[in-house]
Amino acid sequence: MSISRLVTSGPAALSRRGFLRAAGIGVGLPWLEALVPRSARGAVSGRAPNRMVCVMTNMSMIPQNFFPKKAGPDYEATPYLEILKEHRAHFTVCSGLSHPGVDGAHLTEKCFLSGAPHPGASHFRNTISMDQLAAERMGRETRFPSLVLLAGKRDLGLPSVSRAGVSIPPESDPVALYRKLFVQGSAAEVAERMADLRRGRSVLDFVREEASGLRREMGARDKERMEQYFTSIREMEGSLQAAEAWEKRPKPGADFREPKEGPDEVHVEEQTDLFYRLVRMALATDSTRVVSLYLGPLMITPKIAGVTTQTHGLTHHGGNAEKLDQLARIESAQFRCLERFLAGLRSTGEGGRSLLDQTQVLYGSNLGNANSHDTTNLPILLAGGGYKHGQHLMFDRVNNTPLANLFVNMLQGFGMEVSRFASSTGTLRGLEVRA
Amino acid sequence: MRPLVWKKVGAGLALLGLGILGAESAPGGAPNYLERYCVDCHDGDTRKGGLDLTALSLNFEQPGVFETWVKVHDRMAAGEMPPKKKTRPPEEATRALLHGLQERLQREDVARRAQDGRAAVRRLTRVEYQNALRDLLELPYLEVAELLPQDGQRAGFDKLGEALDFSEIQLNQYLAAAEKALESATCSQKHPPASKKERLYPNWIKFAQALQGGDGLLLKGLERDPRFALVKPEMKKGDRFEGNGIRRADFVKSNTQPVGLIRSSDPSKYRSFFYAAPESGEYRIRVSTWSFFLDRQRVCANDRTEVAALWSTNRLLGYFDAPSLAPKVQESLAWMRVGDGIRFETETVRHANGDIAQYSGPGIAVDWVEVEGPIHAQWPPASHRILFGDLPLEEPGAAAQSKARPEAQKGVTPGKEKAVRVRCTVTSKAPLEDAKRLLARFLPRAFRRPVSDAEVGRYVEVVRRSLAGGEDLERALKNAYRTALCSVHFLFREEQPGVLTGSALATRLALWLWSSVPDEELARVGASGELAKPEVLRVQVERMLKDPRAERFVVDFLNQWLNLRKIGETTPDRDLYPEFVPYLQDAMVEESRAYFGELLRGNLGVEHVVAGDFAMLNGSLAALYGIGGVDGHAIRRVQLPKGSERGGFITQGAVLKVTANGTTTSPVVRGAWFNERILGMTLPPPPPNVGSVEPDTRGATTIREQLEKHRRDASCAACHERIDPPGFALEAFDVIGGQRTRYRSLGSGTPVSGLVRDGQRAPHYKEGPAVDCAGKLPDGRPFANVNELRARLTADPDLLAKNLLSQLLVFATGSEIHFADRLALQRLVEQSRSEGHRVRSMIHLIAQSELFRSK
Repeated sequence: MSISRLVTSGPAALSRRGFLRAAGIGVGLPWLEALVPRSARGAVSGRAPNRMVCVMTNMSMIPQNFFPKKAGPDYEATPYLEILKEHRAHFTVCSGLSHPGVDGAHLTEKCFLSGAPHPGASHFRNTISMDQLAAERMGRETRFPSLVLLAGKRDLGLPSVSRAGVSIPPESDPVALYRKLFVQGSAAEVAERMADLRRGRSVLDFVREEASGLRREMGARDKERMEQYFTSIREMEGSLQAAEAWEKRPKPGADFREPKEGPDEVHVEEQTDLFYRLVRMALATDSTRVVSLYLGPLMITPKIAGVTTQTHGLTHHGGNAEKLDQLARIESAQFRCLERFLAGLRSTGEGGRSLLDQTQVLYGSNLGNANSHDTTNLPILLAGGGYKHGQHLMFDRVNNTPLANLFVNMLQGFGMEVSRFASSTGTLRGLEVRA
Repeated sequence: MRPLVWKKVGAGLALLGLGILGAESAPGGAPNYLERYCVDCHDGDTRKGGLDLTALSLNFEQPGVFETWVKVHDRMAAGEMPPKKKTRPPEEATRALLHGLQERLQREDVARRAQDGRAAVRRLTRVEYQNALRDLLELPYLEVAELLPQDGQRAGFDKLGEALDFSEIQLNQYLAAAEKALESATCSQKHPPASKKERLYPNWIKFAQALQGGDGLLLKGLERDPRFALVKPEMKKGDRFEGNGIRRADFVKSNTQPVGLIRSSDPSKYRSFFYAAPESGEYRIRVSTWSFFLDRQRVCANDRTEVAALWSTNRLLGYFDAPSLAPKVQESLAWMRVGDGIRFETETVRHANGDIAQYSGPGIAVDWVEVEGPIHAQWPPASHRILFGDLPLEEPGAAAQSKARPEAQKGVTPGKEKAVRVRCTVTSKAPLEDAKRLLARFLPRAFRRPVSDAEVGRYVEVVRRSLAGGEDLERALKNAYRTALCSVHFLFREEQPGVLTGSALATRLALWLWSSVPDEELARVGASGELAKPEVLRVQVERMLKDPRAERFVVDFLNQWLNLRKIGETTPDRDLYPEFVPYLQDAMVEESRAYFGELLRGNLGVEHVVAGDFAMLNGSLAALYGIGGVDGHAIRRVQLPKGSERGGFITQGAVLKVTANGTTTSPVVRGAWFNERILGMTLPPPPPNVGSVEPDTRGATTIREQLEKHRRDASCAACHERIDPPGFALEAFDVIGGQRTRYRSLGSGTPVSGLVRDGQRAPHYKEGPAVDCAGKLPDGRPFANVNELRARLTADPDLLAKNLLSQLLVFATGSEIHFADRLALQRLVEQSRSEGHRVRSMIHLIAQSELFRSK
């Protein structure tokens, strides 16, 4: 199929939405070209870009429902992996991985992608997370350096952590996300947003100058602390400039309509699906290349058949069979959502190269076993991204291999020249890139 | 290798300045001390406990070095090192070495303080930021905290500069939060919206559904409406009340009779009234409610007062007593946003199962709700006057007419919008002069210090440039205010090393006792320098503690010290704890706050942290604690019965809940909490690969049996002998703070007779294995239960006082207790002892202390 035929711009591209909706996503459309007016695209280099999606659920997974017993390509599918059986050749399941020293039960949520040890210690300081390191490299080539999303409810620090050690506040409203990604607004609205961005820059100009004087009067230690303030101003000036530049360019369209309102948070499966669809669309339109999605059903009683108890209570099942059954229902629902996400990524793309091939999808939890709040032997799955998949990489259950080793693979797969990340001791043995 | 090691250690000691010891004068030879008694384990090969003395630098500039030497000092001073099993050095040798080390560390720390001060420069926490904006702009209901990222913590508190990072995200959100605050503060109408009073009856759709779904009944007076038949609910097509004898058309939007409810609603069936707030503002809300006991279709007297609530989405409008068969009219003032609805919740009546025809249990009736508002004490509102003074509000001129922004009417049903109101905006004949006047008033409050004309001038320049750029006066002024609210002078606590200036001291006090910025009086005595006088400082602290804003101190301090902010993190298992309701959780937190308030108010002794003969309870808490004679929502002081195992914070529901996971308790978790928060110990993190205990609710093993295995391992026992004992004593209390002698089990055990009060079924859980609360303190003294533990603790009030003083000091000054602070802290403990270790006195002691009055 000729690509040029489908390259359109502005309104024409938007009008194509109807066609795309009718065609569904299963027909292998040249997504990028169709959905993204040329002027809306970032500085996309010639070859297909690398992408990264990190999904963390904060409720762990019942170990025996996830981990296969046998290593290698012939592993037997466990109940959860059975849900993903259509994609068996497209993912690798890992066992025996964890972050050394990352302890403290739920507190470890914010360390899942950073690997910073002892989040409960009184002198704890978080470090940049793997997804944000990747986002830093992307800079402002795409409209959003990264998307940090939360499906559910959580007021703990989340695992996407900036270089300054701050957990990035997530977007948890799918409708707002849709608008941010795909809705341009009227000319007046655009003008008002531009004016506001300029106002923001004036504020920064002023406060930077004002604070410079102050710095002279400070002790050495405080001066060092105040550097953060100046760095923030510099970074934000860059962001505002980039935002202004992006504001002038039209936004891409999506292949589904703006949802009226997000599903209620108790409809965990519907809500998660909606987020996944938005993630797929964000990647397909090259609005971003780095997405982190947190599934936080812990404090919710999900509306899933057979579930009557709040998730957190279920995770402390104490071996009770009825609770284990309900817990498995929630976790299965999460895997069904993942299944549909992977299917969507696989059917998006063209020329035999699917969006999944260009997207590394990490799926896992910060807890190895929720009942005991154990933070070792984390359930980890890696899909897509052009690796040789279809296997179970089994590492030592007592002396775990650092999960950060896998992160080094992923950062390299993202095109970065790194050999170390957090507690890594190398790359993950047995994970190879497809030739 | 050996000689090399020795040389290094020797050199280290020389550098340490142990010359004072004099190698000769110290028996055993000081430089030889470490090599002889320490490096066997703490060398590069063995690195016991991660410590390699041969590699430990003496360059205190290097991060962590100073702290490591402090640890060496402390372990030795505590007699833990060298270990008891190894050859013990002569006591004088240890004492001499410690003395030298202590002096060197002290000197180092004092020098550091002279350069930088104890406390690092810091920004406001998100709680302080929100309160500061609320107070500055007189917007008591402003909500901006949730826009900001979570604050970091250090030493258990979020008040330390080292943990309060600043980032682009932070800055970005400050811009947004400032804009939101300024927008909320600005008034755009010449005249206040008319206040309306409306009476609402329970007759909207969800009430109909409650009647239909077997969740409630129609009442007449204090009886069941005879027309309303109680039948087992069945799914009926077309939502008809067929079985009940009431036609839906006669009920919806027309019923004026009370409705009784026997079950709480879930979010999909919130019992909403037919109401949407016409404007954002403050409303007076009155409700008439009462309770009953439904005994096989008969409405009878209830044996206690139930509690009902009115909510607006997820915001509480008020809790209300529902006395038995006696309608009570109560009132509350609350903020509602335009479009907000009102719903009714039966807080203490929750989990009825089965059908209403067979139901035996309590219910809550609502007669009506009255809403009056929005209420405006003045117009334009105070917040607007702070920003714009008395500048006239005018409709935009003809030129600007086309740009006039219509008022958003969020939450109003489409098609029902009122005539679009034109947004008025402030005008001035001399805009720059007015800007100067307004900013000269605003900036000193925002920056907590006198502000020079030149500084004001720079902000006026912002206004001038905005006006020149074509923005209107309102926007131009807002640009200047927004700049001020993103300025370091607003966002950061500015302190110079040494004794604080009066203004800096005032800010420190306000951040401590009000979690906010100083008010005008405090700022005034700060700026004039009066505050430096001890008696003035004392008067101000007293005034601040008596001010309602001091409640923020109670909330913020307890949230952090006792970890109460985690109260909502777990929801107790419904099968194991059917008596738990969310309302109870709110009451628990209120109890702890009221208790601390009582300690402050009465200036009670520090032993009340762990013991006391009274508690602050309401009806629900008293029921949980098994104490009779307390009814209704209000918390009050209640004398505890003799021999009660309650008393002090340690046995309060909130504490017991935050130290459990909703299903099970662990003596390790509670023990760690107790050691850190009550005894002031610092605990090391668990070593790697220790494994973890899998909690069991099947009634097979107790947590204690599971832990025994752990504790038999000598390397585990070393720490757990210290950590676990208080946790064992607290095993007498379950995950919601109820007292127990046996663990509840969902597997094997003795069935429980009796019913869950709010329903008609026997509980799911069974009585499992017996609880064993006995333990041994680290020094070997045994205790059989929490009261014996209490007696041991209250015998040592210095320990409790030292901990509370430390926690308050860290919270108040935003700095950890450094090595060089220890003497000062010890002096505070002694002063406190001479005053009987009283809590309010401690606040004064700290305020007057050099630690608090210097950076």
